[in-house]
Amino acid sequence: MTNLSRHKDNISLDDATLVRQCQNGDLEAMSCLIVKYQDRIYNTILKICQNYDDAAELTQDTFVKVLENINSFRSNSSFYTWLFRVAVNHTLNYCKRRFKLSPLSLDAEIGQGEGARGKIAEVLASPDGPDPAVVAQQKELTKIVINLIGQLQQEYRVVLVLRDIEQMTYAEIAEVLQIETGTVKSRLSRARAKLRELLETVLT
Amino acid sequence: MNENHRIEIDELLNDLVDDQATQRQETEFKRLAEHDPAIVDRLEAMRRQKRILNALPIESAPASLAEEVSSVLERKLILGDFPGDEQTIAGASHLFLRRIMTTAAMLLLPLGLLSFVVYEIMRPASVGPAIYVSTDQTLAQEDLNNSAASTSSLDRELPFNGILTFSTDRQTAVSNYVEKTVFDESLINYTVPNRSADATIYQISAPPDKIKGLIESLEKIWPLCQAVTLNVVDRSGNKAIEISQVQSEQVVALALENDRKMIDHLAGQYALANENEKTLYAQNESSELRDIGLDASPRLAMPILTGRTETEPQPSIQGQPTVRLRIQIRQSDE
Repeated sequence: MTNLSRHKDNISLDDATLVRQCQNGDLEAMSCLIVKYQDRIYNTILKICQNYDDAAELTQDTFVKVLENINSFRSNSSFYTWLFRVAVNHTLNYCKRRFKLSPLSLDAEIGQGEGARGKIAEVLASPDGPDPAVVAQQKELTKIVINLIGQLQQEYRVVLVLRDIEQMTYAEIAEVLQIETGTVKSRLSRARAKLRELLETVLT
Repeated sequence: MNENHRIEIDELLNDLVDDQATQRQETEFKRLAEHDPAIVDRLEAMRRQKRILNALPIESAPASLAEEVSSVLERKLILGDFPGDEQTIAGASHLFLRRIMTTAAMLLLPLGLLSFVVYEIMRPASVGPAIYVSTDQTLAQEDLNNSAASTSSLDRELPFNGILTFSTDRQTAVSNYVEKTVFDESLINYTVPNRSADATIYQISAPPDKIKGLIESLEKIWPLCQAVTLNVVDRSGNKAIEISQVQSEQVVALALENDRKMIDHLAGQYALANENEKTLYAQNESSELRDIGLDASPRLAMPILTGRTETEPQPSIQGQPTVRLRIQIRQSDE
Protein backbone atom coordinates (compact mmCIF):
# COMPACT_ATOMS: atom_id res chain seq x y z
CA MET A 1 0.00 0.00 0.00
CA THR A 2 1.47 3.37 -0.97
CA ASN A 3 1.75 6.26 1.44
CA LEU A 4 -0.86 8.21 -0.45
CA SER A 5 -3.44 5.43 -0.34
CA ARG A 6 -2.82 4.95 3.39
CA HIS A 7 -3.40 8.68 3.88
CA LYS A 8 -6.63 8.51 1.98
CA ASP A 9 -7.83 5.69 4.23
CA ASN A 10 -6.92 7.70 7.28
CA ILE A 11 -8.78 10.74 6.00
CA SER A 12 -11.94 8.98 7.04
CA LEU A 13 -10.80 9.52 10.62
CA ASP A 14 -12.41 12.58 12.13
CA ASP A 15 -10.42 15.76 12.56
CA ALA A 16 -10.31 15.52 16.33
CA THR A 17 -8.61 12.11 16.18
CA LEU A 18 -6.11 13.26 13.57
CA VAL A 19 -5.34 16.40 15.55
CA ARG A 20 -4.81 14.36 18.71
CA GLN A 21 -2.43 12.07 16.83
CA CYS A 22 -0.58 15.08 15.43
CA GLN A 23 -0.26 16.49 18.93
CA ASN A 24 1.37 13.21 19.93
CA GLY A 25 3.91 13.69 17.14
CA ASP A 26 2.36 11.32 14.61
CA LEU A 27 3.83 12.46 11.27
CA GLU A 28 1.44 10.29 9.30
CA ALA A 29 -1.53 12.00 10.89
CA MET A 30 -0.01 15.32 9.83
CA SER A 31 0.21 14.10 6.25
CA CYS A 32 -3.39 12.93 6.45
CA LEU A 33 -4.58 16.35 7.50
CA ILE A 34 -2.64 17.96 4.68
CA VAL A 35 -4.03 15.60 2.05
CA LYS A 36 -7.54 15.98 3.43
CA TYR A 37 -7.60 19.77 3.21
CA GLN A 38 -4.94 20.80 0.72
CA ASP A 39 -7.21 21.22 -2.31
CA ARG A 40 -9.85 23.19 -0.44
CA ILE A 41 -7.31 25.46 1.17
CA TYR A 42 -5.47 25.90 -2.10
CA ASN A 43 -8.65 26.80 -3.99
CA THR A 44 -9.82 29.25 -1.38
CA ILE A 45 -6.45 30.97 -1.30
CA LEU A 46 -6.28 31.00 -5.09
CA LYS A 47 -9.66 32.69 -5.38
CA ILE A 48 -8.63 35.33 -2.87
CA CYS A 49 -5.11 36.07 -4.07
CA GLN A 50 -5.71 35.31 -7.77
CA ASN A 51 -2.22 33.98 -8.38
CA TYR A 52 -1.25 30.30 -8.76
CA ASP A 53 2.32 30.58 -7.49
CA ASP A 54 1.35 32.68 -4.52
CA ALA A 55 -1.53 30.32 -3.74
CA ALA A 56 0.83 27.31 -3.70
CA GLU A 57 3.27 29.09 -1.41
CA LEU A 58 0.56 30.40 0.90
CA THR A 59 -1.03 26.97 1.14
CA GLN A 60 2.28 25.48 2.16
CA ASP A 61 2.85 28.26 4.71
CA THR A 62 -0.62 27.71 6.11
CA PHE A 63 -0.04 24.02 6.77
CA VAL A 64 3.40 24.68 8.22
CA LYS A 65 1.95 27.28 10.56
CA VAL A 66 -0.94 25.09 11.63
CA LEU A 67 1.16 22.00 12.24
CA GLU A 68 3.82 23.99 14.07
CA ASN A 69 1.18 25.24 16.44
CA ILE A 70 -0.96 22.13 16.59
CA ASN A 71 -0.21 21.77 20.31
CA SER A 72 -1.78 25.12 21.03
CA PHE A 73 -5.01 24.10 19.28
CA ARG A 74 -7.84 23.61 21.76
CA SER A 75 -10.89 21.58 20.87
CA ASN A 76 -13.33 24.33 21.79
CA SER A 77 -13.43 25.27 18.09
CA SER A 78 -13.34 23.00 15.07
CA PHE A 79 -10.04 22.25 13.38
CA TYR A 80 -11.65 23.00 10.01
CA THR A 81 -12.53 26.62 10.90
CA TRP A 82 -9.19 27.10 12.67
CA LEU A 83 -7.34 25.93 9.56
CA PHE A 84 -9.35 28.25 7.32
CA ARG A 85 -8.88 31.13 9.74
CA VAL A 86 -5.12 30.72 9.53
CA ALA A 87 -5.27 30.40 5.74
CA VAL A 88 -7.50 33.43 5.20
CA ASN A 89 -5.61 35.67 7.62
CA HIS A 90 -2.27 34.64 6.18
CA THR A 91 -3.50 35.26 2.64
CA LEU A 92 -5.01 38.63 3.43
CA ASN A 93 -1.85 39.77 5.20
CA TYR A 94 0.24 38.58 2.30
CA CYS A 95 -1.95 40.34 -0.25
CA LYS A 96 -1.86 43.56 1.71
CA ARG A 97 1.93 43.40 1.91
CA ARG A 98 2.56 42.53 -1.67
CA PHE A 99 -0.16 44.66 -3.28
CA LYS A 100 -1.10 41.71 -5.39
CA LEU A 101 -4.79 42.25 -5.17
CA SER A 102 -4.98 43.61 -8.70
CA PRO A 103 -6.00 40.72 -10.90
CA LEU A 104 -5.20 40.24 -14.55
CA SER A 105 -6.55 42.85 -16.90
CA LEU A 106 -10.26 42.29 -17.12
CA ASP A 107 -10.50 43.91 -20.55
CA ALA A 108 -7.94 41.49 -21.93
CA GLU A 109 -9.91 38.54 -20.64
CA ILE A 110 -13.14 39.89 -22.02
CA GLY A 111 -11.56 40.49 -25.36
CA GLN A 112 -10.44 36.89 -25.52
CA GLY A 113 -13.72 35.39 -24.33
CA GLU A 114 -16.53 36.65 -26.49
CA GLY A 115 -18.12 33.20 -26.62
CA ALA A 116 -17.96 32.78 -22.88
CA ARG A 117 -19.55 36.19 -22.33
CA GLY A 118 -22.51 35.08 -24.41
CA LYS A 119 -22.85 31.94 -22.35
CA ILE A 120 -22.83 33.82 -19.07
CA ALA A 121 -25.46 36.22 -20.33
CA GLU A 122 -27.57 33.31 -21.45
CA VAL A 123 -27.26 31.53 -18.12
CA LEU A 124 -28.13 34.55 -16.04
CA ALA A 125 -30.90 35.89 -18.23
CA SER A 126 -33.14 32.91 -18.59
CA PRO A 127 -34.24 30.17 -16.25
CA ASP A 128 -34.53 27.91 -19.27
CA GLY A 129 -30.95 28.59 -20.40
CA PRO A 130 -28.04 26.19 -20.20
CA ASP A 131 -27.20 24.52 -16.91
CA PRO A 132 -24.88 26.86 -14.97
CA ALA A 133 -22.92 23.89 -13.60
CA VAL A 134 -22.07 22.80 -17.13
CA VAL A 135 -21.28 26.31 -18.32
CA ALA A 136 -19.04 26.93 -15.32
CA GLN A 137 -16.73 24.13 -16.40
CA GLN A 138 -15.77 26.04 -19.56
CA LYS A 139 -12.25 27.35 -19.12
CA GLU A 140 -12.73 30.83 -20.55
CA LEU A 141 -15.88 31.44 -18.58
CA THR A 142 -14.15 30.29 -15.44
CA LYS A 143 -11.38 32.81 -16.03
CA ILE A 144 -13.85 35.64 -16.45
CA VAL A 145 -15.79 34.76 -13.30
CA ILE A 146 -12.64 34.36 -11.23
CA ASN A 147 -11.40 37.67 -12.54
CA LEU A 148 -14.64 39.34 -11.59
CA ILE A 149 -14.39 37.87 -8.09
CA GLY A 150 -10.96 39.44 -7.97
CA GLN A 151 -12.53 42.82 -8.72
CA LEU A 152 -14.48 42.73 -5.47
CA GLN A 153 -13.27 44.43 -2.36
CA GLN A 154 -11.23 42.12 -0.19
CA GLU A 155 -13.80 41.79 2.63
CA TYR A 156 -16.60 40.96 0.17
CA ARG A 157 -14.43 38.62 -1.88
CA VAL A 158 -13.48 36.52 1.15
CA VAL A 159 -17.08 36.08 2.28
CA LEU A 160 -18.23 35.23 -1.23
CA VAL A 161 -15.48 32.64 -1.69
CA LEU A 162 -16.13 31.01 1.66
CA ARG A 163 -19.89 30.83 1.10
CA ASP A 164 -20.42 30.24 -2.62
CA ILE A 165 -17.28 28.30 -3.45
CA GLU A 166 -16.20 26.66 -0.16
CA GLN A 167 -19.91 26.43 0.82
CA MET A 168 -19.41 27.22 4.46
CA THR A 169 -22.40 28.06 6.64
CA TYR A 170 -22.86 31.61 7.92
CA ALA A 171 -21.78 30.48 11.38
CA GLU A 172 -18.59 28.90 10.07
CA ILE A 173 -17.72 32.02 8.08
CA ALA A 174 -18.35 34.11 11.19
CA GLU A 175 -15.99 31.87 13.15
CA VAL A 176 -13.29 31.93 10.48
CA LEU A 177 -13.39 35.71 10.09
CA GLN A 178 -14.24 36.31 13.74
CA ILE A 179 -17.12 38.60 12.91
CA GLU A 180 -20.85 38.55 13.67
CA THR A 181 -23.22 36.40 11.61
CA GLY A 182 -25.19 39.53 10.72
CA THR A 183 -22.04 41.06 9.29
CA VAL A 184 -21.45 37.93 7.25
CA LYS A 185 -24.94 38.18 5.80
CA SER A 186 -24.69 41.83 4.90
CA ARG A 187 -21.24 41.40 3.37
CA LEU A 188 -22.41 38.42 1.38
CA SER A 189 -25.42 40.33 0.13
CA ARG A 190 -23.23 43.21 -1.03
CA ALA A 191 -20.65 40.87 -2.54
CA ARG A 192 -23.27 39.10 -4.63
CA ALA A 193 -24.87 42.37 -5.70
CA LYS A 194 -21.48 43.75 -6.67
CA LEU A 195 -20.58 40.61 -8.60
CA ARG A 196 -23.91 40.82 -10.38
CA GLU A 197 -23.16 44.42 -11.32
CA LEU A 198 -19.75 43.43 -12.63
CA LEU A 199 -21.25 40.60 -14.64
CA GLU A 200 -23.82 42.96 -16.13
CA THR A 201 -21.05 45.39 -17.03
CA VAL A 202 -19.18 42.62 -18.79
CA LEU A 203 -22.25 41.37 -20.60
CA THR A 204 -23.46 44.71 -21.94
CA MET B 1 -37.36 52.32 -3.80
CA ASN B 2 -35.02 53.78 -1.28
CA GLU B 3 -31.57 52.37 -0.49
CA ASN B 4 -32.56 50.77 2.81
CA HIS B 5 -35.52 49.01 1.24
CA ARG B 6 -33.31 47.73 -1.58
CA ILE B 7 -30.79 46.37 0.94
CA GLU B 8 -33.57 44.68 2.90
CA ILE B 9 -34.85 43.01 -0.26
CA ASP B 10 -31.32 41.96 -1.19
CA GLU B 11 -30.82 40.34 2.20
CA LEU B 12 -34.20 38.63 1.92
CA LEU B 13 -33.27 37.25 -1.51
CA ASN B 14 -29.90 36.12 -0.21
CA ASP B 15 -31.53 34.23 2.62
CA LEU B 16 -33.80 32.55 0.08
CA VAL B 17 -30.86 31.72 -2.18
CA ASP B 18 -29.01 30.19 0.76
CA ASP B 19 -32.10 28.36 2.05
CA GLN B 20 -31.83 30.30 5.27
CA ALA B 21 -35.14 32.16 5.00
CA THR B 22 -37.65 31.91 7.80
CA GLN B 23 -41.34 31.28 7.25
CA ARG B 24 -42.01 34.95 7.71
CA GLN B 25 -39.42 35.85 5.07
CA GLU B 26 -40.93 33.44 2.61
CA THR B 27 -44.36 34.96 3.15
CA GLU B 28 -42.85 38.38 2.69
CA PHE B 29 -41.25 37.26 -0.58
CA LYS B 30 -44.60 35.97 -1.86
CA ARG B 31 -46.22 39.26 -1.01
CA LEU B 32 -43.47 41.17 -2.82
CA ALA B 33 -43.68 38.85 -5.83
CA GLU B 34 -47.38 39.56 -6.20
CA HIS B 35 -46.66 43.26 -6.53
CA ASP B 36 -43.42 42.97 -8.49
CA PRO B 37 -43.02 39.82 -10.63
CA ALA B 38 -39.50 40.96 -11.60
CA ILE B 39 -38.31 40.06 -8.14
CA VAL B 40 -38.87 36.38 -8.97
CA ASP B 41 -36.55 36.71 -11.97
CA ARG B 42 -34.03 38.46 -9.77
CA LEU B 43 -34.11 35.62 -7.28
CA GLU B 44 -33.70 33.10 -10.09
CA ALA B 45 -30.73 35.03 -11.53
CA MET B 46 -29.11 35.07 -8.10
CA ARG B 47 -29.61 31.34 -7.75
CA ARG B 48 -28.02 30.74 -11.11
CA GLN B 49 -25.15 33.06 -10.27
CA LYS B 50 -24.57 31.04 -7.13
CA ARG B 51 -24.68 27.80 -9.06
CA ILE B 52 -22.03 29.09 -11.44
CA LEU B 53 -19.75 29.88 -8.50
CA ASN B 54 -20.56 26.53 -6.88
CA ALA B 55 -19.66 24.74 -10.04
CA LEU B 56 -16.35 26.43 -10.71
CA PRO B 57 -13.75 23.73 -11.26
CA ILE B 58 -11.67 22.71 -8.29
CA GLU B 59 -7.99 23.27 -8.84
CA SER B 60 -5.70 20.62 -7.41
CA ALA B 61 -3.04 21.68 -4.99
CA PRO B 62 0.54 21.02 -6.08
CA ALA B 63 1.21 17.30 -5.77
CA SER B 64 4.33 17.80 -3.71
CA LEU B 65 2.63 19.99 -1.12
CA ALA B 66 2.52 17.40 1.66
CA GLU B 67 6.15 16.47 1.15
CA GLU B 68 7.24 20.09 1.08
CA VAL B 69 5.35 20.86 4.27
CA SER B 70 6.93 17.83 5.94
CA SER B 71 10.41 18.82 4.85
CA VAL B 72 9.91 22.39 6.08
CA LEU B 73 8.71 21.07 9.43
CA GLU B 74 11.63 18.66 9.70
CA ARG B 75 14.09 21.42 8.85
CA LYS B 76 12.58 23.66 11.51
CA LEU B 77 12.71 20.82 14.00
CA ILE B 78 16.40 20.22 13.28
CA LEU B 79 17.24 23.93 13.49
CA GLY B 80 15.35 24.23 16.75
CA ASP B 81 13.00 26.72 15.18
CA PHE B 82 9.94 24.68 16.09
CA PRO B 83 7.67 26.33 18.65
CA GLY B 84 7.34 23.51 21.13
CA ASP B 85 5.78 23.30 24.55
CA GLU B 86 8.67 24.98 26.32
CA GLN B 87 8.39 28.04 24.16
CA THR B 88 4.64 28.06 24.57
CA ILE B 89 5.02 27.94 28.34
CA ALA B 90 7.77 30.57 28.25
CA GLY B 91 5.57 32.74 26.07
CA ALA B 92 2.63 32.31 28.42
CA SER B 93 4.81 33.17 31.42
CA HIS B 94 6.15 36.22 29.66
CA LEU B 95 2.65 37.31 28.76
CA PHE B 96 1.49 36.74 32.33
CA LEU B 97 4.42 38.78 33.66
CA ARG B 98 3.66 41.56 31.24
CA ARG B 99 0.03 41.57 32.33
CA ILE B 100 1.07 41.73 35.98
CA MET B 101 3.46 44.57 35.26
CA THR B 102 0.83 46.44 33.29
CA THR B 103 -1.73 46.01 36.06
CA ALA B 104 0.78 47.15 38.67
CA ALA B 105 1.64 50.19 36.59
CA MET B 106 -2.04 51.01 36.12
CA LEU B 107 -2.57 50.83 39.89
CA LEU B 108 0.60 52.62 40.92
CA LEU B 109 0.29 55.52 38.53
CA PRO B 110 -3.02 56.84 39.93
CA LEU B 111 -1.80 56.11 43.46
CA GLY B 112 1.33 58.13 42.82
CA LEU B 113 -0.69 60.97 41.39
CA LEU B 114 -3.09 60.82 44.33
CA SER B 115 -0.20 60.85 46.79
CA PHE B 116 1.29 63.84 45.05
CA VAL B 117 -2.01 65.71 45.19
CA VAL B 118 -2.47 64.85 48.88
CA TYR B 119 1.08 65.95 49.62
CA GLU B 120 0.51 69.20 47.76
CA ILE B 121 -2.61 69.82 49.85
CA MET B 122 -1.16 68.78 53.21
CA ARG B 123 2.36 70.18 53.12
CA PRO B 124 3.18 73.47 54.90
CA ALA B 125 2.52 76.63 52.97
CA SER B 126 6.19 77.42 52.73
CA VAL B 127 9.43 75.99 53.86
CA GLY B 128 11.46 78.12 56.21
CA PRO B 129 15.09 78.91 55.87
CA ALA B 130 16.26 75.77 57.59
CA ILE B 131 19.99 75.80 57.44
CA TYR B 132 20.49 72.24 58.44
CA VAL B 133 18.32 69.29 57.68
CA SER B 134 19.62 66.06 59.00
CA THR B 135 19.14 63.01 56.90
CA ASP B 136 19.86 60.79 59.83
CA GLN B 137 16.70 59.03 60.94
CA THR B 138 17.99 58.38 64.44
CA LEU B 139 18.86 61.83 65.55
CA ALA B 140 17.75 61.06 69.06
CA GLN B 141 20.24 58.26 69.32
CA GLU B 142 22.98 60.14 67.65
CA ASP B 143 26.11 60.19 69.63
CA LEU B 144 27.30 63.63 70.53
CA ASN B 145 30.75 63.02 69.13
CA ASN B 146 29.26 61.84 65.88
CA SER B 147 27.18 64.94 65.82
CA ALA B 148 30.21 67.09 66.33
CA ALA B 149 32.16 65.20 63.71
CA SER B 150 29.42 65.60 61.18
CA THR B 151 29.19 69.32 61.71
CA SER B 152 29.60 71.08 58.43
CA SER B 153 31.77 74.09 57.76
CA LEU B 154 28.58 76.13 57.81
CA ASP B 155 27.90 74.88 61.35
CA ARG B 156 31.33 75.95 62.43
CA GLU B 157 30.53 79.49 61.39
CA LEU B 158 27.43 79.56 63.59
CA PRO B 159 27.89 81.78 66.67
CA PHE B 160 26.12 79.24 68.81
CA ASN B 161 25.45 75.60 68.18
CA GLY B 162 24.04 73.59 71.04
CA ILE B 163 22.04 70.58 72.04
CA LEU B 164 19.61 71.11 74.90
CA THR B 165 18.45 67.86 76.42
CA PHE B 166 15.47 67.62 78.75
CA SER B 167 15.34 64.36 80.66
CA THR B 168 11.93 63.98 82.18
CA ASP B 169 9.50 61.37 83.33
CA ARG B 170 6.74 63.39 81.68
CA GLN B 171 8.12 63.21 78.20
CA THR B 172 4.83 63.56 76.37
CA ALA B 173 3.70 66.59 78.33
CA VAL B 174 7.08 68.31 77.92
CA SER B 175 7.20 67.47 74.20
CA ASN B 176 3.74 68.84 73.67
CA TYR B 177 4.62 72.00 75.50
CA VAL B 178 7.79 72.49 73.48
CA GLU B 179 5.89 71.90 70.27
CA LYS B 180 3.21 74.37 71.27
CA THR B 181 5.83 76.94 72.23
CA VAL B 182 7.67 76.49 68.94
CA PHE B 183 4.41 77.17 67.19
CA ASP B 184 3.49 80.10 69.43
CA GLU B 185 6.88 81.68 68.93
CA SER B 186 6.43 81.48 65.16
CA LEU B 187 9.41 79.23 64.90
CA ILE B 188 7.66 76.47 63.02
CA ASN B 189 9.33 77.38 59.76
CA TYR B 190 12.73 77.43 61.40
CA THR B 191 12.26 74.03 62.94
CA VAL B 192 12.79 70.51 61.72
CA PRO B 193 11.00 68.16 64.09
CA ASN B 194 11.96 64.55 64.41
CA ARG B 195 10.80 61.68 66.55
CA SER B 196 12.41 58.46 67.54
CA ALA B 197 11.60 55.65 69.93
CA ASP B 198 13.06 57.38 72.97
CA ALA B 199 13.29 61.06 72.12
CA THR B 200 11.55 63.94 70.49
CA ILE B 201 13.82 66.37 68.73
CA TYR B 202 13.38 69.90 67.46
CA GLN B 203 16.22 71.15 65.33
CA ILE B 204 15.91 74.93 65.34
CA SER B 205 18.01 77.26 63.24
CA ALA B 206 16.92 80.82 63.91
CA PRO B 207 18.16 84.30 64.83
CA PRO B 208 19.35 84.58 68.45
CA ASP B 209 16.44 86.75 69.58
CA LYS B 210 13.99 84.12 68.51
CA ILE B 211 15.91 81.45 70.38
CA LYS B 212 15.87 83.74 73.39
CA GLY B 213 12.10 84.11 73.22
CA LEU B 214 11.70 80.40 72.91
CA ILE B 215 13.89 79.53 75.88
CA GLU B 216 12.17 82.07 78.04
CA SER B 217 8.84 80.60 77.13
CA LEU B 218 10.15 77.16 77.99
CA GLU B 219 11.23 78.13 81.51
CA LYS B 220 8.09 76.46 82.87
CA ILE B 221 9.28 73.02 81.88
CA TRP B 222 12.53 73.19 83.84
CA PRO B 223 10.85 72.09 87.07
CA LEU B 224 9.29 69.15 85.25
CA CYS B 225 12.68 67.75 84.26
CA GLN B 226 15.00 65.58 86.28
CA ALA B 227 17.95 66.82 84.27
CA VAL B 228 18.51 69.56 81.72
CA THR B 229 21.77 69.40 79.88
CA LEU B 230 23.28 71.67 77.28
CA ASN B 231 26.01 70.40 75.02
CA VAL B 232 27.82 73.18 73.22
CA VAL B 233 29.38 72.13 69.98
CA ASP B 234 32.62 74.01 69.96
CA ARG B 235 34.25 75.95 67.18
CA SER B 236 36.23 73.06 65.81
CA GLY B 237 33.03 71.12 65.51
CA ASN B 238 34.43 67.85 66.75
CA LYS B 239 33.79 67.98 70.46
CA ALA B 240 31.31 69.49 72.89
CA ILE B 241 31.21 71.09 76.28
CA GLU B 242 28.55 69.59 78.48
CA ILE B 243 26.75 71.85 80.93
CA SER B 244 24.74 69.77 83.34
CA GLN B 245 21.71 71.25 85.11
CA VAL B 246 21.86 74.19 82.76
CA GLN B 247 19.59 77.14 83.54
CA SER B 248 17.43 78.83 80.97
CA GLU B 249 19.29 82.10 81.50
CA GLN B 250 22.54 80.34 80.70
CA VAL B 251 21.12 78.99 77.47
CA VAL B 252 19.86 82.43 76.51
CA ALA B 253 23.18 84.03 77.36
CA LEU B 254 25.04 81.58 75.17
CA ALA B 255 22.56 81.91 72.32
CA LEU B 256 22.86 85.69 72.29
CA GLU B 257 26.61 85.64 72.26
CA ASN B 258 28.17 86.49 68.90
CA ASP B 259 31.72 85.48 69.64
CA ARG B 260 32.50 81.80 69.40
CA LYS B 261 35.50 82.16 71.64
CA MET B 262 33.34 83.72 74.29
CA ILE B 263 30.72 81.05 73.89
CA ASP B 264 33.30 78.35 74.53
CA HIS B 265 34.64 80.19 77.50
CA LEU B 266 31.23 80.86 78.99
CA ALA B 267 30.16 77.30 78.41
CA GLY B 268 33.21 76.07 80.27
CA GLN B 269 32.45 78.38 83.15
CA TYR B 270 28.82 77.35 83.33
CA ALA B 271 29.77 73.70 83.23
CA LEU B 272 32.20 74.19 86.08
CA ALA B 273 29.82 76.31 88.11
CA ASN B 274 26.93 73.95 87.69
CA GLU B 275 29.16 71.05 88.54
CA ASN B 276 29.88 72.76 91.83
CA GLU B 277 26.17 73.17 92.32
CA LYS B 278 26.30 76.86 91.83
CA THR B 279 22.96 77.86 90.56
CA LEU B 280 23.97 81.30 89.59
CA TYR B 281 26.88 81.95 87.42
CA ALA B 282 29.27 83.71 89.59
CA GLN B 283 29.87 87.35 89.95
CA ASN B 284 33.57 86.72 89.79
CA GLU B 285 33.15 85.46 86.27
CA SER B 286 33.34 88.96 84.98
CA SER B 287 36.62 89.61 86.65
CA GLU B 288 38.05 86.38 85.33
CA LEU B 289 36.98 87.25 81.87
CA ARG B 290 38.31 90.70 82.17
CA ASP B 291 41.66 89.08 83.09
CA ILE B 292 41.80 87.52 79.71
CA GLY B 293 40.83 90.74 78.02
CA LEU B 294 37.25 89.94 77.07
CA ASP B 295 34.12 91.67 77.91
CA ALA B 296 32.48 88.67 79.39
CA SER B 297 29.46 90.13 81.03
CA PRO B 298 26.87 87.49 80.43
CA ARG B 299 23.71 88.86 79.10
CA LEU B 300 21.15 87.64 81.51
CA ALA B 301 17.81 86.85 80.21
CA MET B 302 15.57 89.82 80.18
CA PRO B 303 11.85 89.59 80.07
CA ILE B 304 10.78 90.47 76.64
CA LEU B 305 7.52 90.52 74.88
CA THR B 306 7.81 88.01 72.15
CA GLY B 307 5.65 85.82 70.09
CA ARG B 308 2.16 86.30 68.78
CA THR B 309 3.22 89.48 67.06
CA GLU B 310 4.35 87.53 64.03
CA THR B 311 1.48 85.73 62.50
CA GLU B 312 3.43 84.75 59.44
CA PRO B 313 6.76 82.97 59.74
CA GLN B 314 9.59 85.17 58.67
CA PRO B 315 12.82 84.06 57.14
CA SER B 316 15.99 85.04 58.86
CA ILE B 317 16.92 88.62 58.39
CA GLN B 318 19.66 89.24 55.92
CA GLY B 319 22.98 89.64 57.73
CA GLN B 320 21.65 88.59 61.10
CA PRO B 321 23.53 85.61 62.56
CA THR B 322 21.70 82.36 62.85
CA VAL B 323 22.17 80.06 65.78
CA ARG B 324 21.29 76.45 66.00
CA LEU B 325 19.71 74.79 68.95
CA ARG B 326 18.65 71.21 69.01
CA ILE B 327 16.11 70.50 71.74
CA GLN B 328 15.83 66.86 72.75
CA ILE B 329 13.21 65.57 75.14
CA ARG B 330 14.06 62.15 76.55
CA GLN B 331 12.52 59.87 79.08
CA SER B 332 14.37 60.24 82.37
CA ASP B 333 16.40 57.23 83.48
CA GLU B 334 15.76 58.00 87.13
